[in-house]
Amino acid sequence: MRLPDILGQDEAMRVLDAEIRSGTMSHAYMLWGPRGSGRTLIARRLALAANCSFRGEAPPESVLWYCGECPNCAKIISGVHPDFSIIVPSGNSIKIAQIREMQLRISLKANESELKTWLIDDAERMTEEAQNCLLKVLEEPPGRSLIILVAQDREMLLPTISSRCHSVRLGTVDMRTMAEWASRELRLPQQRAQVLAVLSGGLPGRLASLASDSDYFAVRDSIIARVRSVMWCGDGARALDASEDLLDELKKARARAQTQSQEAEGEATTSEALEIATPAGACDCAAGWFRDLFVLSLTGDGELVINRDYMEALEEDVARGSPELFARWTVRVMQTARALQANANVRLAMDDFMLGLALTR
Amino acid sequence: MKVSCSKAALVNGVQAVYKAVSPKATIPVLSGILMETCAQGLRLVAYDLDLGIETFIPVTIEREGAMVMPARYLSDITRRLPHSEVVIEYREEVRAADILSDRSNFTVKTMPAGEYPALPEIPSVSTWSIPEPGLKTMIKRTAPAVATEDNRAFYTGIYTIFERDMLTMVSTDTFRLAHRTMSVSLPLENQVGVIIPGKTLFEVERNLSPEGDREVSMALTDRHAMFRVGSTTYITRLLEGQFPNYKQVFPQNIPARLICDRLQLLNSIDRVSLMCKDELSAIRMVYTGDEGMASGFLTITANTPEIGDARDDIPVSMQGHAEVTVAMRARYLRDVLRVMDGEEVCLGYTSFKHPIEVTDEKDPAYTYLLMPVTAPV
Repeated sequence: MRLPDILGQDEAMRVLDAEIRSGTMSHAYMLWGPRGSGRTLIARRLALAANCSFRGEAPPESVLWYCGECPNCAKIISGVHPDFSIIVPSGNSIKIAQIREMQLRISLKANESELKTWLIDDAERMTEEAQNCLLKVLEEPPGRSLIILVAQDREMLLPTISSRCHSVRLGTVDMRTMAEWASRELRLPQQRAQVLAVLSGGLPGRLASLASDSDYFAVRDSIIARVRSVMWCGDGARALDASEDLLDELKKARARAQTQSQEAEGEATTSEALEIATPAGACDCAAGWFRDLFVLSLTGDGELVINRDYMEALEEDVARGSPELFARWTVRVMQTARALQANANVRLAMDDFMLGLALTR
Repeated sequence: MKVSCSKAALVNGVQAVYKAVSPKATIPVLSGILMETCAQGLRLVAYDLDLGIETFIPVTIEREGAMVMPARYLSDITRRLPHSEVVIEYREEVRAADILSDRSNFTVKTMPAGEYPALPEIPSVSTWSIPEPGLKTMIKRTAPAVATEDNRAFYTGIYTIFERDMLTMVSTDTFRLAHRTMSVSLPLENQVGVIIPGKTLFEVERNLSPEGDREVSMALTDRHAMFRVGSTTYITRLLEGQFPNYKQVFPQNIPARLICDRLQLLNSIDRVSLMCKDELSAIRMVYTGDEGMASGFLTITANTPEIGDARDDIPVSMQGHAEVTVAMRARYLRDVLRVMDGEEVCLGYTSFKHPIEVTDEKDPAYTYLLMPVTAPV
């Protein structure tokens, strides 16, 4: 049995690998980076490499090697290893009770492996009490233990936690590697692979979930269509109608995505459609559009464009406006996004944005 | 798989393993009980990855097989079955099992037996045997001092020391300590000490009988301990950590010992602590009377300003000399008085800040220490 391969992140993997090989492994790691960069996969890979019964025989050129055959590997991959436990948020956060239980269980000797391995996923969602409760065991885990925290950003955890862990940062992957991987592994047509690679912002996990989420594109299409219908109309009343329709549509799309993710029984925890079908998501999408117009009108270089599947429409828009106008629109949409973040009235913010879009020249 | 058996055997079997079921485990199959046919009848297993319990019940096998049944439903259903005979039939094609008894019929969805983790293997090279009533007393007497929750998890276990001729169990939650020994004969060169989780030992104790004449077989590895009583086997992970050096806390040269009726003392504490705010409130004990093998009274009082006072006297006799005035948490004394069974109990008093030693003349192998409360009461 094998885990899926990890894309990019060679630097992080080499650091971890060197510590396993030299026997200077820490008892606590924090792997942090954006969701979708492969954090949990690397955490599981680290658990495998540290627990594999044949880890002494790792080929010299390999990184975080595991045999995939020994009982330790097989059980960790299928998620049934008695000495490999995963903590995930229960509801919205990781509660103190979960950490207390961990504390009790980590004090027992390992069942089969030499190590007791604990993976805390979304560690930044630990409550403050839970984090404080974790401190003791993180500093001095009983017996031989390996605790791996996976987090979005180390700053989102108490400094006392991050200072007790060996932090390894995971970055984004470059577009070319992403596109190649997507057409090879996900069997996507080249054109689509490229679009997805750009849209997912260098996060393989996000690319994979975009590829399987057709709703996302439906919502994106309708956002772009509405924004474009307002951009050149110069008519305030039409802009207000478009604003109302857009909010309506986002609401429906959100409800649809929610029922779907409930039917999937929480398997796809991050539905991309759910994220774009919010006022903030729509702003993001519009900002991407204006940015493309701006970049394209200045450079004329199609390689720099995000919404590559819309090339014709973009060129059409570029021909009608100027870089100054596109820049002004970009600023407006950023202002709206900021206002939404600060809990502005959604309807008013959106109306203001659409009006501005229609009337700014 | 199709088996038939008596309801009583099935209920007992399910209850015997139930403690090791893990209802909220991340691996769903652990919330079930593994049932499989084998040469000894029907094998039942529950395993939460910390504690595993396995038992065998006699059944008539019509067709062999294995499955995992959700523990809660299995337990609830079997207890309420109307007839003393039960038939369990697993239908692989629908992944469900029928439980039939008299005119009742349940169909329960099952989980695949292949996903159930195997119990840790304990090499059967050296198993030791300990008589059932002896082990029961050992666990029962050391149970009160086991910590229920502590950052230092080894306090939630019982430190068990095996020697060639002696078995010792010690537990402490740092406020009290229970220590009991028992003579045994084990094929051992050196002493071996392990910390066994309290939860496991309490479960073993529950299934031991004080009058039983069975032998409990025991085995240890570097990480597991195994107990086998009759057809039931318990396998637990051991606790990590170094048990503190407890020997230094036993008070030497105790100047005074108070001897009194155990039940009288227990009842008196029960009465007085009605005036305590909570379980951890302190009560005060003062001895009045002659010194040196003489009789007097022990006055037990409780005082909570916002509730009221209580005061109770019981006759005691004193050996030795000391001005006995001491305060302690009522619960710590009550817990130990409840697990003793002699008629009389002896309280060894050194000073108001030294541990009180509780002993029983009938059970000289047992010592219980509790720390007094030194703040004014």
